Amino acid sequence: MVFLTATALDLRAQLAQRFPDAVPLPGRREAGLRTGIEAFDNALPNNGLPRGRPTIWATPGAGATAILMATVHQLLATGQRAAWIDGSRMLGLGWPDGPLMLRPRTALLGLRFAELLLESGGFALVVLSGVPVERTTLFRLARATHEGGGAFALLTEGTLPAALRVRSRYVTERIRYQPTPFGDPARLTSVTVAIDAVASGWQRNTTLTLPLDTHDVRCALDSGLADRRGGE
Amino acid sequence: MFVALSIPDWPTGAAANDLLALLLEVAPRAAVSPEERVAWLDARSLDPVPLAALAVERLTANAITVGGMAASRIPVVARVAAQHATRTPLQPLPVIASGAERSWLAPLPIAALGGSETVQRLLLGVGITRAGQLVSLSRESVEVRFGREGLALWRIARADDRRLLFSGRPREYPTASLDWTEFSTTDIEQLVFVLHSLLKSVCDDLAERGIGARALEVTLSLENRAVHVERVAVARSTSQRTTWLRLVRRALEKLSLPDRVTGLAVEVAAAGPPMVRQGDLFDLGFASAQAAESAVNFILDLQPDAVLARALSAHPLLERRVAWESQAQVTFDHPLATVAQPPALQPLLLPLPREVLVRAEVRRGFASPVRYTDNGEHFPLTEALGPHCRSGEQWGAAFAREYHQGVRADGTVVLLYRDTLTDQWYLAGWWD
Repeated sequence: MVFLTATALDLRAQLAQRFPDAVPLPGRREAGLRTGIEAFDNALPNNGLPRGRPTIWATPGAGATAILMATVHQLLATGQRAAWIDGSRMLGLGWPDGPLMLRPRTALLGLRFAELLLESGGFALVVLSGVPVERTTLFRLARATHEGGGAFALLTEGTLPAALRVRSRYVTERIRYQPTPFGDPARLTSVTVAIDAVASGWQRNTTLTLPLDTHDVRCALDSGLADRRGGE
Repeated sequence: MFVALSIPDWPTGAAANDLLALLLEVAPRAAVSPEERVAWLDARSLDPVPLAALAVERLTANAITVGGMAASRIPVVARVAAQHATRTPLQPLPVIASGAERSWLAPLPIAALGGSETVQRLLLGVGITRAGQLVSLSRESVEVRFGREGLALWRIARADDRRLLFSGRPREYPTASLDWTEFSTTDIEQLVFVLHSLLKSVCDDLAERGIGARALEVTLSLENRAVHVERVAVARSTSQRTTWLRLVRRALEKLSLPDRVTGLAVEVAAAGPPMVRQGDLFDLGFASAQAAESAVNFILDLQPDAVLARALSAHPLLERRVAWESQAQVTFDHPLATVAQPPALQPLLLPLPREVLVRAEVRRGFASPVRYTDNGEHFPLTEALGPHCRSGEQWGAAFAREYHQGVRADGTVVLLYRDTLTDQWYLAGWWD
């Protein structure tokens, strides 16, 4: 924790008085959008995804879809709206019924959709994935986010400026398996992801253990055994 | 109540231009119709009798003769009554009571309703001499027999006039201004200091009215008596002073003025209801449904099949198990009965499985992948679980697959399968 001297506090107060429209410090912004995952919220400034400013989750990001989808669930449960623009067209099996799912035909349409949804102010969270975003495009989306006041999560490759940047990776030594009676790994039960959250004057990290739901790809009635039916 | 003044000798030249000005001296709003030779006075919330008397007096003093006059809630009834009254010497203003317009018109001859000689002859030819007789006919029969002009007369006889004689009065939006004569400035900080105060006044006024501004006009009075108007607009109407201060300041910083500033004025150029944003303290969750629906409808205009809903089936092949159906309409007026769920890694499936090169080793009679190559990049697998075997389809293209979950060195869990019919390996997707 950083302790400010009386002179620094006085200087900060004078600056705030003289430049009231200056960009405030992270600690003074409005409450963040809670994801419902306590450990993750605690790692974010203002305990949540920033409202009115973009969040960039660098891809490939371990568990990004899982965490953002849980956030979408959390928002729906509290009566708020969320939208997911799936440019990669890969979401499907685990998608919940409820949030708005949009699949743009082109990347340009995906960006336009994001701008419209963000500007409307009618969505607490808009997630954009699988659409390449350039720096100039991001500025425009950031402006729309600011006008709408909602949270905007962008899953993208590369390094782009944002109010909050999140990186995540798997902790390979903490992947858990359920063994077969013979001792071999039969089923992946959970993985652990390490998450870094970086904002202006803010850097925190946390770890989350996420279960891996694999029943969709299995036919075996006994989850402890590999399904060998139907093979050659 | 509208007062109609029939002026048979319609003034020409400068007198015609003065007519409206004369009427506006006695009535809050006035209109003229030279084709019908009628002038209108807006007597709503006023006593029409003294208003009409004053107007006649003012016009007579300016050598404009009023032939007849009448007052009615329906403009066309007032007009017909006023024109009908020109046949007799000017009488005190007849005020046709609300609801009695049709019965008042009924005994009038057809000629009093106006219209061309042709239609008048047609009506008289079938024995219709009074307005009341025309009203008793059905719309269809009038339209078929007498055409469009006959239908117009039928509407007049029914006292049916939907036109808006006087349009709505534009709203007055808040303004604030300050002029200083002792000095002039080009210092942006000094201008912003003044703007602080002006914007506070304007934004407080907006907030009191429960509206937000969509555009502001900042007028800068210059020392050389010129005026520069800077318009600042936002996409969502707001009454927040900080927002407007930031935008106006940004606009001023880009300006280069020819002279020093001696005054500032802030005026709301466009306003609307303040948008409710989700997550606001007073947003009950669905207050901003209209904004969300409007945005989604715009998206549907851009791409009709953009919004999708999932339909799950029990197909054994993963890529065919999920079907997406496009939604033609989306509404947000009902809360969704959902519960929060803990996060879990989600399977992400490629739209079409991608062929990959796999190095496999035989384990318990099955080929188990130990490394795969995708787009020229090698990914060793630290663990491979499976296989989960799928086969089927008697009538269509048969399939037989062995699915493996592979764990890459970086921890990513991928889904690979071997097509046992072709002995090709594919990457189906991964978990994230």
